[in-house]
Amino acid sequence: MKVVLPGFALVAGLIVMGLVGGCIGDSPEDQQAAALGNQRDGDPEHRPGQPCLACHSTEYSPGGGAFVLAGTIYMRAGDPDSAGVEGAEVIMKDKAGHQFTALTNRTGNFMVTVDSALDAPSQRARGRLRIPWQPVFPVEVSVGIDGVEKDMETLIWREGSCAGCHVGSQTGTDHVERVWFTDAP
Amino acid sequence: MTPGGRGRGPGRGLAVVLAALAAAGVGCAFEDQKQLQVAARGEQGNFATYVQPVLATSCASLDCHGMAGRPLRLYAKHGLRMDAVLRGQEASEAELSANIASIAALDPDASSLEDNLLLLKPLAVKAGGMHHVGGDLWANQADPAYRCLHAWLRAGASDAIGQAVCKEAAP
Ligand code: HEC
Ligand code: HEC
Repeated sequence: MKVVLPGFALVAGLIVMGLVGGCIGDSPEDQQAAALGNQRDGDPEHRPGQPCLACHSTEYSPGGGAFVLAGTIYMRAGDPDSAGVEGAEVIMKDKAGHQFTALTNRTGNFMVTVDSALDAPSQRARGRLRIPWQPVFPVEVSVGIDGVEKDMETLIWREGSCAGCHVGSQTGTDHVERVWFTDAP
Repeated sequence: MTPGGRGRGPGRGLAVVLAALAAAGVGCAFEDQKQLQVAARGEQGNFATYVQPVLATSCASLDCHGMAGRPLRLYAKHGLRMDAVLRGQEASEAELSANIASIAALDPDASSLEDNLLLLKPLAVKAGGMHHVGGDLWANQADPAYRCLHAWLRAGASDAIGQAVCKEAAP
């Protein structure tokens, strides 16, 4: 399955900027993973701002775990990629009517994994939410922190990574900016 | 061709000839060929009012047909844009024209209106549709979005019923 993200042009841009360490693999997935660089792989706080499912999907998961929805939430649009906001709520509701809420971890990351042995959603540690059902797309999403809430008006139809569409601090022709809460400095 | 898909063998050459005739404006003996005329003439007024909202709601998101590489590539308010400053605004004239052109290019050889991929792909496989990575969006041909796109391909969504179903599909 070919993974082509709207933010791909930006990723390609990163290569040009020479931020790539290591070799470029053969498949488009390998190439994308390589383009994203090699950053402290192996923990839930790594690679904030990146499209997690590029390496953590059921089809292709060199990252080990397969997530169904995952991403990074920020306080401000201009914050650096690495400085997501901890403790934000990400509230998701799928087409089947299941609602589940993840809390972000120290780098602002959250990830949702399906575990059919469960009866109800379970948040083990900040960032990691397990749900008992495979979510049915399209999915509605909103985020909240300290009483500030923001809803995404449109729906997520297929793309499980927030960063599949939310990339960097500015919108572009094929993406919107990162998910953020406030203009205040 | 996926199993269960329509055959396109012998009829194809004829369809191409008819399409060429229709494009050249040589009469329109077959109702089916009107879809090509609609696309060729643009019918942009009706498209913008009745069809674009339906496409924007359920087809043109950034993770579906709002991706540059898709065979059916659609511009929309919150989806793919020709210019980043347009984000959040309704589709521009140029974007609407590009959407119409993309629809026209999707399946120029379809042997009938109902056989056009624009209608077959989102239609549930059980109802005679074709496998669609984006899933079965319409349970059957009674879905207002199906009827809306059908009305546009047929006659530019120029009739009251067609316009009403389009409004129903994207209130
Ligand atoms: C470019 C590829 C890539 C991207 C993008 C990526 N990861 Fe990873 N991830 C990895 C690799 C490689 C490992 C280590 C796997 C191993 O040790 O077997 C890993 C490990 C992990 C682990 C620990 C293993 C597990 O399943 O519990 C977590 C949690 C994790 N990543 C979360 C994320 C989150 C959240 C994102 C997005 C913000 C993300 N990753 C983006 C490659 C990636
Ligand atoms: C398919 C592309 C896509 C994906 C994937 C996506 N979004 Fe969005 N998102 C958008 C678009 C386009 C907008 C702007 C229009 C709107 O509000 O729907 C947006 C807007 C938002 C907003 C409102 C922003 C504001 O300032 O009002 C929030 C919050 C949001 N998204 C959260 C998320 C989260 C969290 C995820 C991951 C679970 C996610 N989005 C995944 C496309 C996407």
